[in-house]
Amino acid sequence: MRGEVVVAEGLTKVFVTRERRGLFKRGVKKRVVAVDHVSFRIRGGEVFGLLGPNGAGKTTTIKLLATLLLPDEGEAWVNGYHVVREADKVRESIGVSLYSDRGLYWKLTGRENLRYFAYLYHIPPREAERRIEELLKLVGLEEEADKLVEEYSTGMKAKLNLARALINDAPVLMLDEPTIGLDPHSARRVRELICELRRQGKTILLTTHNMEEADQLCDRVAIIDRGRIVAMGTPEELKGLVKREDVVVVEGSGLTRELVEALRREECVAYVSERVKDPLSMSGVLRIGLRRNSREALPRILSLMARHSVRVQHIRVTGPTLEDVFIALTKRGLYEAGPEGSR
Amino acid sequence: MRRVLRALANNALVARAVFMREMMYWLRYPLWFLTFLSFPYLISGLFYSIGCAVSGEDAIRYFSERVGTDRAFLYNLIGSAVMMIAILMIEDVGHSIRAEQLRGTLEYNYVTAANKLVLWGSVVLPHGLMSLSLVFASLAPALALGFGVSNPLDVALGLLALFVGMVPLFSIGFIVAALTFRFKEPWAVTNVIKAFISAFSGFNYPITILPLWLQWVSRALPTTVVTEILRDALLFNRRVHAMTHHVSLLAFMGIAYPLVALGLYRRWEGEARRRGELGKY
Amino acid sequence: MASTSARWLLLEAYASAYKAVKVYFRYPAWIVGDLLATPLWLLVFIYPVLMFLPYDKWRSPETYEFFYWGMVSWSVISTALWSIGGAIRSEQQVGTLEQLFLTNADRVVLFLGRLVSSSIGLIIELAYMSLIVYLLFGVQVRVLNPPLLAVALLLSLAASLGFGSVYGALVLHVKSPGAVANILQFVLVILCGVFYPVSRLPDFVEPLAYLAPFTYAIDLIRHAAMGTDTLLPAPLELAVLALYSAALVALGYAALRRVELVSKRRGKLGFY
Repeated sequence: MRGEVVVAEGLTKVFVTRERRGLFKRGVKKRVVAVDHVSFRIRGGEVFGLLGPNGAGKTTTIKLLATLLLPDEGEAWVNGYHVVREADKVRESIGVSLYSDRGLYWKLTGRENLRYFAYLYHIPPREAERRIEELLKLVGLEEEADKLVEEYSTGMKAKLNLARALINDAPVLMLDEPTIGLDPHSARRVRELICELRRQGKTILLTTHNMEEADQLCDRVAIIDRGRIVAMGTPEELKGLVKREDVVVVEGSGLTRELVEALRREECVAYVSERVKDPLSMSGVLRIGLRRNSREALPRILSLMARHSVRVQHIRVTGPTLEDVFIALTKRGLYEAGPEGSR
Repeated sequence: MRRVLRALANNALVARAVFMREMMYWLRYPLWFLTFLSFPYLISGLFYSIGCAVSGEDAIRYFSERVGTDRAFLYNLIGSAVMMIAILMIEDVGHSIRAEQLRGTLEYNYVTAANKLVLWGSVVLPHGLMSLSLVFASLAPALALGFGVSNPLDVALGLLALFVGMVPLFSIGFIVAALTFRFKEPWAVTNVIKAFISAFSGFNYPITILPLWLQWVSRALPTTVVTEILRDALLFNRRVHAMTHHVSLLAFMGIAYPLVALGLYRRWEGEARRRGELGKY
Repeated sequence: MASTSARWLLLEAYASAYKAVKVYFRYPAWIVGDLLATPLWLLVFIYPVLMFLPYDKWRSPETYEFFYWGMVSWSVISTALWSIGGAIRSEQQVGTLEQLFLTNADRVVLFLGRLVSSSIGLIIELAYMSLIVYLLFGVQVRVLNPPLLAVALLLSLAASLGFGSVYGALVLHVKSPGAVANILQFVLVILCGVFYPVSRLPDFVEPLAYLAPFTYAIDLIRHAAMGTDTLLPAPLELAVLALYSAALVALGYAALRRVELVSKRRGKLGFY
């Protein structure tokens, strides 16, 4: 059994914020539990996913492990080093890509940005140049390497961010939403890179709210919601938690609130998750988890949709996915906002 | 008529939104109040202390011979207060468009239905109000401690002149802001303009010591006129309504400067839209 | 191990300086703006002070030399407040601060680059301002003891580094330190005798001047350039300045370290 490279035990982080209303009111202090006694272990060479909606605590967890935040409770070790007591050694063992459109020097070229960080990671100049060339080729930025970052598109910045995370060739990589904001082609390229890095034996902690990405890339996934891990296992193990039959996926328009409520009242329906892409036409995607076989339930569902004048563009029946697991465990969709964790 | 009223109501809403936004920023960075209240005293104190350190007991006598009053500290205090307002207005307004670009909010402002001139022009209200309040709060202790003012009405008129002087100052800042559409780096320009205005507005000396051609340049600056009005009212006890030359010059600047600023803004903004430069930072 | 650490420190310093200088020269508008604004700021201070002087002093070269070295000294103080603090603020705004803190690079060296670009600016300013003073007032700026001036300037920059590190820690914590910097700048200019000897300060203020490191820096700069009397014997002042600089650098390290931990505890490292 491969050794454990990342160990988190009872990690907790509480933020104190202040609500501000109006010109002169100071506002009320509020404690927000961003990460609530989170524990997990990542084996060497594994791609481990933290899957959850926005505000679930994914970035905070990564920052705790990357020594950018100090935990309020709990402990963690990365590559055998304690994240608080041996922070220097942890930083030598990790490469981190944080989700951000900022974080690069606009008035430096892509190459100069990488060179700068290479030196901060104590990579000697000659080796740094070799490594930079390798990485620019790997991420597909050779042509744009000598342009100022202020001229880069979002996708190019994301690739440069990833290249920076790889500059010190660390055994552990922490990637925070690496494909967010990228076009499908660029996102696929990044996923291919992640697979390549796994083949090289890197241990990767990946955060995402894209369940297909988690399903495709990760050896194991921890589903995190409101700062707590609600389930953990391989994608197949997690899907096995959902004691459901089929899931009907409907793409169309006219997916109103009334329709969703009506579907939820149906006896054959276990849950409904909606993702509205266009509020004007109410078009989007409905995932309808069924309590029984779809052959029995489908006519009822179709009739209900006809009564609510839904224009169906695409309908398919599928097995449960990680999103269905999330819904089953949290009673919400991955894309539905929920209240922040609080004490 | 209804359309006009509705347009006015909409513009008032936009002005209110801008006012609230600017005031939030002011009030959420309260340390700046300390700077603005102390700035005039620090500058005046610096000149006063240098002068006294170099010339000793004769310092005030020399000052009186050059300037026409022995109230050196108050003389410098008034000029320094106006200098502070000028720097504030030029910086804040000059960087406003650039700040929106950097935050990524410029295009969001542009896609709203708000009248763009009202959107940018409304900035003068909160800044003018804050500036006026700060000048008053800053000068009030010095005036109250016995420097003495013969006519409170002239004080009020002097401050009103200061407020009117904000309009051409705002226009200078607005020209710099509009430059952002062309050059993206307005800080260098504001640095030069601030230095120019600080050097040649006669904040802390009479402009008659400048060469004649430079005096004409100085007289074209709204800050020079405002400083002279305030000094005459607070220090030399001249009646503001008697300073018709100064007041009419200031009124003319209040019309001419905005017209120039508007013309330049329209031209550069139009170019930026055509080139797709609005959101670029 | 020690030689490896020294090599790494050099590499970090080189990276920091390289980045700062590259960025500095990629804003040509700033350089042009500085060149245009510098003589104007000189006039902002000269004209008001002339009002307090007799007419013969208006024509005295010593008056303008005093101002010249005063402005240079003011630049040293500005460097202290705005170099490291300004660098930290800039990294916060660009969003690179967290990326920098992911490395093990020395926390003071990380922000040293701005001090390097400020020093380059200072050298350019020294030459440029002397030309301006000559063109505007017909005064040729003298330097009586160039080696001592060089040492005094170097030690001043070291004091700036230390003071700047302490101030930088405040910037890391407070996020909007400009207000404090502006006030502090003036207090130091008045207290440390930038434009006059501190012996001319009121009796109750003068002892405070001896507590500020910049007092000695400015005194030494003026002594080396113009041959003015020093407060203490020059070798002693050099020693005091060197000790002060070392103490400030040590204090700066401790302050930055402490604030880094506090920011990480509160989760405010990436905030700006």
